[in-house]
Amino acid sequence: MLELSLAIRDVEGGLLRVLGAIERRGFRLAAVNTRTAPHGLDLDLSIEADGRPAEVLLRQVARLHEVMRASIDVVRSRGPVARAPT
Amino acid sequence: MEAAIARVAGTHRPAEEAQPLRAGAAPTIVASVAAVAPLRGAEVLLRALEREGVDLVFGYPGGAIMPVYDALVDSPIRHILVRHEQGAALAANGYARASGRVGVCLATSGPGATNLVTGIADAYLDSVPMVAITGQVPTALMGTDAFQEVDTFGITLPIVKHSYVLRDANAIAATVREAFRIAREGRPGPVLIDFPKDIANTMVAPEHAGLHQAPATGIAAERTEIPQVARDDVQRARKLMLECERPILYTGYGVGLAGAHDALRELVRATGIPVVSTLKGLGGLPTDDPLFLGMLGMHGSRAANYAVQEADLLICVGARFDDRATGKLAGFAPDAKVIHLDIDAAEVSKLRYAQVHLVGALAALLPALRCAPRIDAWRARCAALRTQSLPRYDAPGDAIYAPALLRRLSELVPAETVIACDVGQHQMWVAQHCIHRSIDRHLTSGGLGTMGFGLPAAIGAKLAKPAAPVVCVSGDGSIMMNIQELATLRRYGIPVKIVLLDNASLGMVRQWQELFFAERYSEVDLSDNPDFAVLARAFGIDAHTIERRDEVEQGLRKLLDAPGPCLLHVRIDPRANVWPLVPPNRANHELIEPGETHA
Repeated sequence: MLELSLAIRDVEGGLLRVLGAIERRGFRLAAVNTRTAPHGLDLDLSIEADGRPAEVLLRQVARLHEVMRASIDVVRSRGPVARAPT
Repeated sequence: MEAAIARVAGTHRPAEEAQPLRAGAAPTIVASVAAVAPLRGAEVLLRALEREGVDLVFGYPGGAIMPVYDALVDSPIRHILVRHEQGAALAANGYARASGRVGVCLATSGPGATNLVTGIADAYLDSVPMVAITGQVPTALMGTDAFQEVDTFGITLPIVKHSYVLRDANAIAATVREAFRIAREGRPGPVLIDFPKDIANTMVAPEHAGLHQAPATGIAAERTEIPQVARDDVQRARKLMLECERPILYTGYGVGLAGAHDALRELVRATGIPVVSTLKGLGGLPTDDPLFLGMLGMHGSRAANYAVQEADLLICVGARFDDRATGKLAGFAPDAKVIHLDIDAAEVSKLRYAQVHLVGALAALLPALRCAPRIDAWRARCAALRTQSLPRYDAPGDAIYAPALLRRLSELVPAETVIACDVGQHQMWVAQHCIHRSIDRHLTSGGLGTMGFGLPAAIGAKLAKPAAPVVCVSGDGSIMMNIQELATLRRYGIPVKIVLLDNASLGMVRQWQELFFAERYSEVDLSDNPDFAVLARAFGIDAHTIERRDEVEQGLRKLLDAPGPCLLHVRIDPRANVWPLVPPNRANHELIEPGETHA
């Protein structure tokens, strides 16, 4: 299980684009927690990976125009395995 | 020739207005920013496009986009009326590929927008900078299942780099500017702007129109310096290059997108490392260069595929380990470490782990890799492989041998000729047998594999590069996917030359059914095709048919010498196959040639 944390801009379709990108890249959304923030939305996502590399997903999500910050943790690991450049 | 292109039915615009800007040139700003009268939203949109240097758009009018078409009457932007919206998207796509500029297409809401989808998806998968503008029903009707309402934003969400619904007329210019920036920057791609009709009709005060800001076209698309953090990786890459014994440069379309032809060629000269290319990377290094081993992958050359499989270092430059290039991924270049150079960080280690990755502008990164590995024995091995896998054109018989015809075509045309392909066997023959000298002169739908791409892409390319000859190579299956664009050729007198290879079947599918489905042929027979020469003439296009080998030379010369658009209908053997071929789920060294089995 992966824990993906995102900050996204308040733009039309931003949430849909992010969630869709995750699913289309072969990951399954297990839980989605959103809260409004001054910049738009903060998201905490639990994702089932099925063997695909988490770092690649992170970069695929981080390149979306509405994504301001992205980081990913592997649950039960000692700490963050990757953090996308902002 | 230029005058012919500008000979638009019903237009009075002089030819010089039809000339595109040089790639990378500063845009000519023709919009008046000192306007004092309020502007309609549609006018703001067009002025914003003009400020981005747009002088040509491809489109088809309809209800929801009518305000934009009304504003076009007073705009210096030239509009090319295609006969199907897919033609507009693919022509804009071809325009962008050939020129490096952002291609623009217009369509109305509903079916107009859905007809653009294939061309947008094609641009997404092939990283082509495009802006697609779609009309939309008025905002008050959005979400009510109104006439010609579809959720264009939602439909295109997975196939665009970014997209907008314009809900604020004061944001039109800023949105256009941002759309152009996103379409071009980093790894290019398509951006969609959905434009509701009421917003297009809204009056905007000049001080709120946002037309005073600098256009995005003037912003550099890529950073050209190597960031400090990458310098260590450059050193690691050079160390791998100096320590290896069997390196290969594996190059892709990213080289063309980055304008890194020269940097690649200088690196090849400096290092002497042999080169293989993806389908879309052909021309990065001229294909007649002694160090070029050919295309790799499913229909790649024996030399390219064997060399990659034997390599101990793959330097991947602007390519993405696509399945058509790698064959069975687990068996691809099994002994090789990987250095991956790309502008898109998301491609790094997506399919193949890279020991070193360098993310950034290729034109800046490639010179940093110059070194002199000692690989004489490896170069000799690759040269021998290259010699052994050179194609032969002496097939027996009187029937036209398509690879030989295409090779001859490639020899006859000037070096600056653009070849736009459709999709199928002929596409692979063009890749294998034409001489490619520059990536932007070989337009081919690599990612999506869009049958019907060739003709509209050729139209876009010819309008982007009026001085360059443009040849469309198509098949009898593909041409029928966008045959209506012959009317566009005729309407504007666009002198595209079409070579139509007619094997009376869906050749690539037939080949696979022959080889991998026990010759159980299913829905591939097209022997009831229309007479393509007669059909072309019905559109007002000059056309000829050839079917014997001794007619090839004269047929090609007649085609190329024709002053306007012309179609050469070439009947070929329906049983002809594309070789070599890597069977599905096999490694690339397991390729087969005619007469070999794949069991």
